[in-house]
This record gives sequence, C-alpha cells and structure tokens, in this order.
Amino acid sequence: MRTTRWKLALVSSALIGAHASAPALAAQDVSADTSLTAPADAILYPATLDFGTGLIDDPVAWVSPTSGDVWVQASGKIVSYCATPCPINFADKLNSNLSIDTHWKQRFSVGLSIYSQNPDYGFFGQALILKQQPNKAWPAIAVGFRNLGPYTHEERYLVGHDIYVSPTGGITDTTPGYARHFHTLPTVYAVATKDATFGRNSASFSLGYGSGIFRDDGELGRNYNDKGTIAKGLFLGARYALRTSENSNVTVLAENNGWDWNAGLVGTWRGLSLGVYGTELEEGGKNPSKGFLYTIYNYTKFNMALGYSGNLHDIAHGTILRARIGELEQEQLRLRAQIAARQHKIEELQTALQKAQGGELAEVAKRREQLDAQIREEQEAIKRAEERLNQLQGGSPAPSTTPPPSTTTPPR
Amino acid sequence: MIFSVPRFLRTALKLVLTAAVALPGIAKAQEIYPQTMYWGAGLIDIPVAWVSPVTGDFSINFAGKTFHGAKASPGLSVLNGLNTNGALSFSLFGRLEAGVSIYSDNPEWGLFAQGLLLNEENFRVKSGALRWVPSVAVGMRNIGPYDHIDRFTVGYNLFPGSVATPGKQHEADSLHQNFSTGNTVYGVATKSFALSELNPGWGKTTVSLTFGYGNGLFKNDGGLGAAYASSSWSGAFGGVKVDLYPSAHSTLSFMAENNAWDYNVGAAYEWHGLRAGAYWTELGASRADTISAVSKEFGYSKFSFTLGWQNNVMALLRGHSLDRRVAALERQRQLLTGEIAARQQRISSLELEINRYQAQNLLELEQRRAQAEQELRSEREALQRLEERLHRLEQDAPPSTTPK
Repeated sequence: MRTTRWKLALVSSALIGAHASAPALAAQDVSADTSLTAPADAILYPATLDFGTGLIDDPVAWVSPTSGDVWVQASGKIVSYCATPCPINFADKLNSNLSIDTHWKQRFSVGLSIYSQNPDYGFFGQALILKQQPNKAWPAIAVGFRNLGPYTHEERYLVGHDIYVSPTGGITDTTPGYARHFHTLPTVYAVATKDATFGRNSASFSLGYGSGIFRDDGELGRNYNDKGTIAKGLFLGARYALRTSENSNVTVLAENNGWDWNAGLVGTWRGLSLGVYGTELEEGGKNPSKGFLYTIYNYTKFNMALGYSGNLHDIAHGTILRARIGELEQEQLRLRAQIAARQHKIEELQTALQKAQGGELAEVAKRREQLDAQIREEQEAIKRAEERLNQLQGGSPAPSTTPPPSTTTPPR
Repeated sequence: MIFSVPRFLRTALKLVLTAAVALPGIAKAQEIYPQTMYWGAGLIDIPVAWVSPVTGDFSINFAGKTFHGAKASPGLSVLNGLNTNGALSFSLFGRLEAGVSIYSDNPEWGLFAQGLLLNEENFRVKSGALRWVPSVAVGMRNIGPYDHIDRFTVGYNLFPGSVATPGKQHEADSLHQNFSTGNTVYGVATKSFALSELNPGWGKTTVSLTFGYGNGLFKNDGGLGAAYASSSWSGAFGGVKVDLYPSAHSTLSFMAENNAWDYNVGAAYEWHGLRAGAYWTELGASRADTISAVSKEFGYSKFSFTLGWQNNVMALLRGHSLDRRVAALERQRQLLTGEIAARQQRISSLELEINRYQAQNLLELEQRRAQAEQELRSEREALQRLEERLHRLEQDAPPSTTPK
C-alpha cells in the first residue's frame, strides 16, 4: 500500500493557511477578541478518515460555528492484502491518507484529500443549506461533494488509481483491472443531522443519501461488498460526545457508510485528536469465500487517525498575542522596578522624618537651654542686687522680686 | 567580480539612514531577532544573546544560498545552484532555545541550543551604568554525527551501502576531511537600545550590537587557510542590526556582520510572524575564482535568502491559552499599577507629614522663644528696679569708711 508524505504537506498547508489568514487579522485587537465565547461551548465534530469533518466515513450536516476552523488529519487503514502471511513490513500494509478541511462563514466547508503520494487527490466540500434551530423539530440539512478531481475510478478505499514505471523509464498512471468500472467523479450527497445536548455532552443522528463512493460498486457486486448495505446509497450514523474537561472530549461514533458498519472512539485535547476505528464490522475475518477481492474487501479492518484542528485566525492572531505577552512581561519588569524605587523612596522619607524629628527636638532644647541660662544669670544678678540692698538697709530682708519658675514645658 | 566592501557599507548605511528617516516611528517595546540561515535566532549567520521571551515560541526557517552551480562543481548536486537548509527551534522560559537544523535531504542534520545567562531587559530598568549591561549567552551548534561540515553546512555525500556496511553511507568528501566542527561552542554578548533612549527626538528605531567568540564552525578552517576565508577574525564574530517599524505588526531589519570568516549584509522583513530575508554573503571573497576546488565553494560572494514563520505552540492549539495569558498579564499590570499608586500616595503622605512637622516645630520654637524672652524681660525689669532702688539707697547712705 501507499504511504503519504503527510509531514511535508502538513507544514506547507499550515504555512499557507497562516499566511492567507493573516491579512484579515491585521486590524484585530486583543480586547475585541470574541472567539472566547460561543464556539467554546460546542463539541466539534472530528474529521472523517478521508474527507473532512463527519463521523468515521459519513458526512454530517454541520459546519463549524467559527469561521476559519481547519482540520488536518492523517489516517491509516490496515489492509492485509496478502493471501498468506505478508513478508513485508507494516508500512506496506497501511493505506494512509491525508485530508485538510476548512470551514467558513458557518455555511461552507472545502478541503483537499490526498489519497496517496503518487500523488492522487480529490477535493471535497459541503454547504449547510438549513441550520438546526433551537425549539424547532427540523434537522440541519447539507449537500456536498467528494472526490472532485482527475481520478474517476476511485472506490471507497481510494485505491482505484496507481502508477508504474514504464519500460522507457517514465512514470505512467494506471487503473487496476477491478477498478475500471468505478465512476465516482464526482460523488454528491445530501445529509440531515439532528443534534441534541445533554448538559455538557451532546449527541447527534445523521441520515443521508449519496452517489458515487456511497453507491457505485464498480460492477463488482458482492466481491466489493458482501453485506452491510441497508439500501443502495443510503448512509446513517450517530455520535455521542462527552466533554471530559474544558479542553478535552471523547466522542463515540457508530455508522453505516452505505456499505458497512463501522464504530470507533475519538479523543480530543486542545484540537489534537487520536481516533481508533473498526470498520466493516459485520464482515468478520478474511475469507477466500468472499470473492476474488477478498484480500482487500469484506473483512474487518483496524483504522487509526491522528488529527489536528485549529483556527486560522487564532493561529495568525497568535503572533500578535505572543508579542503582546512579551511586551506585558517586559512592562511588568518595569512596573516592579518602579515599585521597588518607590518603596526605597518611602524608606528614605521615613528615615528623614525620624531624623528631622530628632534634629528639631535637639535644636529646640538647645535654644531653650540658652534662654534658661540667660534667665538664671539675670536671676543671679537680681539675687546679688537684693543682697547688696539688704546690706544697705541694715539687714532687713527686702521683698522678693524673683519671678515664679517657668511653666514652659519642654518640647515633645 | 571585485567588490569594494567599504563602498558597499557606505551605500548600505545610506539606505538604512534614509529608511530610518522616511519610515514613521512606531513604538515597539520589544527587540526581536530573525532566524539565521541555519541555526535559530540571530543575525544572518551569527548568534545573538537573545531567546524569544515567551515559552512555546517556535520558528520554522527555510534558507537557500546560491552557488555557481554546475560550473562550480558539476558532480555535486548540493552545489548545483542552490544549497537549501531547514531549521526548527523552540524557546523555553525566555532562557533556552533549542532546535534542529537540516543540512540536506540526504538527510544530514545537527542540533543546536543556546542558554541566556544574562538578560539585558532585567538591567534596562536600572539607573546609571547598570542599564547598559548587555545580554550574555552561551550556545552550541552542530551537535550530532556530522563532524566535518563547513560553515555552509556542506561536507558530506551520500553513498549506497555495501555488503560490509549495509544501508546508505554519509561520507565526508575529500575537501572536508580535516574539518572538525561538531559540538561547536560559543559565547556571545548583545546590547540593544532604542535611539529614543539616547535622545527622545530620535524616534523608535532600535539598534543592537553583538560580539562573540566560538570554536568549531567559527574557527576551524579544515586546514584550508586563506582559501576558506580571507577576512577571518580567528573565532571572533560580531554584527549590528538596525530595526525599523513600518507598522504596528511589522519590522524591517538591516544587518551587517562578520561571522568570524567573512562579511555579510542583508535585510529581513517580518510581518505577523512571517519573515523573509535577503542577504549578500562572503563579501570579502569576491574574487570570481572558480578554478580550485576550494574556490569553487568558498571563493566568491553569494546571494542567500530565508523564509520563516514564528509563532507560539499554544496559538496552534485550541483553548485560547494565549488570550488567557494576555488577560492574566493585563490583570497583573492593573495590580502593579495600583501598588505603584498606593506607594506614591504613601510618599506624598510622608512628605506632607515631614513638612507639617517641620512647620509645627518652628511654630513651637517661636512660641517658646517669645515666652523665654518675656521671662527674661521680666527679670531684667526686676533687676533694673532693684538696681535703681540700690542706687537711691547708696546715694542716701553715709559714705563708707572701708575701702572697696
């Protein structure tokens, strides 16, 4: 099987996406950011294995409430196509795919699915023509397309085209013989989804009908699909999403994709997701009695998906926010320095106050002592004058003229 | 092509000054640095003592350097026109930057890391000479198995494995056998300042000066001597960067440096985290000599470019962590501003108390002085009355017979 160079595509798409969304954000202000509110309450749908958001393989009538949301998903399906135990390694048994899905204006989604590194690819998209309304019975309804591109003969595993090295050295496209009667370009579908919330959790049921990948068996009959089809082109599914924390949730999924019954579990944390799925559950083990393509179809398979979901606006806005954080942290340094300087000034003033208090007291006391000394000198002079007077008067005491002691209280 | 470095520098300086005058000055509180060609944050090739201040900041960088292509070395695809490199780096706690540099798609690679020992921002708020303390950092480059790369990260070829050594083999070519650049260690100091710090009328243009010293990639010439570099500073390197701010979310940087081997000049433009740079490197080696094997790689000036993206990991993840961090910091700023106001109020209160106390002391002192003077006057009056009485008595009394 083929393995996609998804890392290269992931980085490229992230760069392109961030670049494309940046102009619209130039005028955004931190304080005006409203993205913290409404969408945070909703548990978003995960990406399907190959074609953007939905269940495991089925689409749902839903477009993200936040414009600019993006899903990048790498998925792998283990296809043990060897009739006997495979001598080849794990990578050769893994049919891997990469998809990028973007949601806009709460109404449209468009994306690219890369089926292989040959590369084979196809576009997909969806329009939400009727939104589910609170207190109304009708479900949301959407129409969409899948596998829009040059690869006509893709089937549900998206392995209907291949390449080979020609004898002349060039690389030539080829279609395996069994896939030549598939005509899945484009696949169109309509789907209705009814959502319900239970506290912080939510559940939904979807029912839809599609052509192409959902219906066309490439004239292979039961070789392509032994059992599991409810009605040709009809698909349905349900999810139950549990919010496990503010930034994480677990979603349980079950569906019939028009061909088979699938079920799985997806855990999501801050937009990073890991999904594990069992597909073609009704088929059981690989058995040669299930047609000449039994090594590819008609047995239960294990699937895994690693996904990333983010918002292009938030990513571009992140450069502004991180710059703002840097500025605020630097400003915090300055403010703390100012606080320290003022604290120092306070301590200086308190010391100055104490010194001033001590200095003034000493000055006042000194001045008072000077005045008291002068008064004492005067009193001594009066006393001497009185004694002289007494002597002159012949010993009789003279009336005292000494003033009463000072009532001045020392400064406190 | 013979190239006059002084003339070029004069021209570059004129361009920078012209742009500094022509572009409006928009306040930018924080110095930022672009990604070097190969090794994380810095100027064109040299490191700077700076680490992106927010934990989780990352940079993805793609760089290309033009060589003389097939004419220079027809057998080596790496020299067939363009040598490309990639780098990815992360920063933690505003103190540590670490990343990986991809030298080629063979692939050859090396790790790099830098630790910021002194951050000038911690000293900028201080007064006096302390505010001019630069940032100081130490770092390492080319941590990994490719010990023989040169300063362009070239040096290895990929060969198919043999029976004895299965798997693809990375082998140093003959020119690079004597290079030993693994685990390059360097120390670097950087001082940045806004021109407005020198004179408020000089606008918000910021300037940074960097000087450092390193071994390995900065000093080891693989025994090639002057053919490797004619403007070597023997392990020392230095550079200058001038930042202009055409808008609130963009930066235009002009840079000139000697990367311990040669002179490089160039400019980088950053907008919303996306960055593009164009550089003219090895200006001192402009001899147009492509005869010897060494000169085919080193003996001429080259054009280089970088494309990069800088953001924060938390911006990629849902949950609005950065918004919350901004909100928390805004709240802290309010608290700190409140504390400053409270302290300012206390200062005013203390100053008022001191003034009042001084005034009260003066008043009390005056009152006491007046009281004491009153007492003194009373004593003097009493004394005067006594003296007058004494004088009268002495006049009425018979003359004394005893000598005085």
